[in-house]
Amino acid sequence: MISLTHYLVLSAILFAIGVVGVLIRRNAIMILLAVEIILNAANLSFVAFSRFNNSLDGQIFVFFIMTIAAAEVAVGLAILLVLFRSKRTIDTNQIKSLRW
Amino acid sequence: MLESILFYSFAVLAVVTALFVIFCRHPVYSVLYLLITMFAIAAVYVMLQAYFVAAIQLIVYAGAILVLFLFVVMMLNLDHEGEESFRVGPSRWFAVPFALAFLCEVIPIIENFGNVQRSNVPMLEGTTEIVGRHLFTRHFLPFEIVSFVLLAAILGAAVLSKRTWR
Repeated sequence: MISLTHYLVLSAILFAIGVVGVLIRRNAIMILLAVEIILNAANLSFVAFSRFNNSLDGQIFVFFIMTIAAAEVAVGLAILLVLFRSKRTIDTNQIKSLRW
Repeated sequence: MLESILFYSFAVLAVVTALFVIFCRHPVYSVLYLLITMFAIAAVYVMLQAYFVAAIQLIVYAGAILVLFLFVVMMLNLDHEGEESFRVGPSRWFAVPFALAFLCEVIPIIENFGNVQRSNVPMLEGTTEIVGRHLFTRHFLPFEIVSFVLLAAILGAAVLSKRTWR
């Protein structure tokens, strides 16, 4: 029988993979992809808790998180396009104008 | 038994393809592997009887967000990236030990939830009808507010991509 722990461990592993991705990649698009993995890990634990507590509120939360993720990706990718247009790179090591 | 087999196969599929997403050198392959990850997570949602969330996962993530990523990756056409797609410096070497430490910290906490049993009340299934009824009664105000967030995102993306930044 699959218990709540299984789903939460899967969610934690996906979260850790996403954090590693944010830390080791230089390409800004890859960082956004890793953030998507992190959001999906959070969604998975929401749905698991919703199922095992017999309440639908977790699934409503997931609906809102997905909406915000879509908005975040739209704006983030537009920012990346503008950045590429002005700096000719999206390598996070070469974008230094906000760095001290 | 069948449930265990399905869960483990989809969980392993999700984790392995997520690792491929992180470690693939070329962004296009990463996006395509993330597509498989999304499908595996949607299958796990179906096992949790969250049918509406699974459908939304496929439609919004696999259908819209990843296509957007794919468009941008192809538009930027980053061929010259090559060998140095990973960071150099301390964050590259500390990332994996940090993640392992995080897992060692979190999994014992998660173990405490293991004794939570499913209640005897008949299960609420996350079908579109039931979720929609919740969404339009108890959570109606957040539902309306989130439409403003989407409107702001549309306006932001349009403004950002239209102006010439010189």
